[in-house]
Amino acid sequence: MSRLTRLGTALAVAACSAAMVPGLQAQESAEALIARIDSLTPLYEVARVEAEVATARAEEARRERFRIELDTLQVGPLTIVTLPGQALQAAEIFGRVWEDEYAPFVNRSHALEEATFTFQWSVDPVMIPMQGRHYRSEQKAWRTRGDLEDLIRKSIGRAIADDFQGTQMHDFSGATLRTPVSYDWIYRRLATTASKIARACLAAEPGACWSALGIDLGPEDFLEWYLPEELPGLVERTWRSWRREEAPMFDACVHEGVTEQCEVLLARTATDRYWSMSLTPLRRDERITMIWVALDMGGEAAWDRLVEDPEMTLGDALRYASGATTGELEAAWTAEVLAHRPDTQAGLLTTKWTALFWILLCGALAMRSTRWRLG
Amino acid sequence: MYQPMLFVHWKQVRAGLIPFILGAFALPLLMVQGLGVTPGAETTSLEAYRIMNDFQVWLPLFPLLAGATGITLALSSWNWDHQMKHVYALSLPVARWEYSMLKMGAGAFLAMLPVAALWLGAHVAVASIELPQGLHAYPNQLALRFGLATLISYAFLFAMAAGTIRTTIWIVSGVIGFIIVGNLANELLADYYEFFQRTNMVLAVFEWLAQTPGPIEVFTGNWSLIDV
Repeated sequence: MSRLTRLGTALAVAACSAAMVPGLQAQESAEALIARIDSLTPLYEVARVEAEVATARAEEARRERFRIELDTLQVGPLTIVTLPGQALQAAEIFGRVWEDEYAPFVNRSHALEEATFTFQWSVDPVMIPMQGRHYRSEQKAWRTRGDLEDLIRKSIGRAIADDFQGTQMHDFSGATLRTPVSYDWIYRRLATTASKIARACLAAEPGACWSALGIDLGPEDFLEWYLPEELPGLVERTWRSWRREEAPMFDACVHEGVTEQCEVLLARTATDRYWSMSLTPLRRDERITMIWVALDMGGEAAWDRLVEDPEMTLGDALRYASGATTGELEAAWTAEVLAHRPDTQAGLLTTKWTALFWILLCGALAMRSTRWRLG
Repeated sequence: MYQPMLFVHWKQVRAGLIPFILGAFALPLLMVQGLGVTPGAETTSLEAYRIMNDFQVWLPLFPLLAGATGITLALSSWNWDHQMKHVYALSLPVARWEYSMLKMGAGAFLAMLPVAALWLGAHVAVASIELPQGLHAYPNQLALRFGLATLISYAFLFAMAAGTIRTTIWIVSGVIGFIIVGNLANELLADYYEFFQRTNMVLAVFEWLAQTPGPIEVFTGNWSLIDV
């Protein structure tokens, strides 16, 4: 039995004894108990020091067991830690992602300067011990290079978005600036979002997309975005079930269609810093694409301008970064999205000829059957 | 010669085919039931969201129906030959290849009945609702895809049923064996070759089958009657 355990047992026994002694007798015993506990203090101190030494030894042994050689390299502003055999590969893949997607508009990023990225593409990745702000881009060997590049994009996107700290861009972007999801998907979302302003955006009405993205309009302006009949659906998607006291209002709104109740619930959601973003008709992915459009239009150092002044509103920051007006920005974004209406029947022509080939092949094989042959 | 063959096949399969014809007509109508907006009312994208959402559960039924129709037609096309020990076929003054071609043609024609029913049903379905802005109907494309999928499954099963049971067993065993042995071999080879660490052969083959120009690619495409 260790000293700490013995000490614990002694304290437990003493506490139980104290609890069992009634009245005045307990008063006397309590004083005796305090004296006894005080006498144990030096013993406890010795045990604590011994425990700390043992923990430190165990930690040292663990570090020794997992100690591995590492290479650190620099690609633009990115600091990458990897295994020695993978440094060239890391430099090439990180370099390509950086040059293609971030370098054109980022001159300087404080967030990237402070961040470290890990890189591994191995059959059996090992644990690279890291401290401080770091982002892991590690995957098994059988995943594709495309997967790895996506992982790196996500890592850089999360890291660079730390420059948004303290600005309105932080919540607007969802604290990430990954490469835009497919515009085809955004078109699909736009066409199927239950909101009158999204519908107007799809019809390319001026100001509609800007508003639907929640720029220069706050969640409290949700009535600008939705028709009364669209509110129950919105409440159904955004209400948090743990707000039990709101359950009757939720039922009245969603099941009975009482829009006044919907408005009350949505007004409450609009005051919540985190959940209020879910009221905006177009969500994070769409908003991120607007940032990308602004950066593309702004060109060199657009990023620096975007994060220059934390006091700027979303609209001002986007306009300042892009060097364009609201109308120009919105038009560029809308044109990009509308140009990507997915060809839902793409490939059907090829499919037709492919299918015909296989049908004829099967027909030919059926004719060649040996069933009727003799011998 | 073609007409009697078609008639014989129809007699053989009609009991099994009629439910598929009815199903193909009804499926698009069931899909749109309760969806869309009343013609003349203001269209809301709430409906668009709901349509896209509610459609998803129905979509797998189209390739399943196509596959089942093709299989039914293929098996029934050789059924009476197997039952009669090919006496009727051998009594005809036609070569084996010509007989097979006529038989396949008869089945392919019959396959057009459920396809036509689906085409009709899809047109009736989209005519019965007013689509919200941003959504479009694709009844012709859906019917074309359904037709191709039906013919593909029909052709595969027709070719298999045309052969002997031994051939069928060889093919089926080959596929099962490839799945089992292929995975084991992949594991073993991965210890020696980096290529196999990055590639699962069995998975790669199935991916190829399901993509252009694979034979089952038509089953994995977009089966939406209504889309953006």
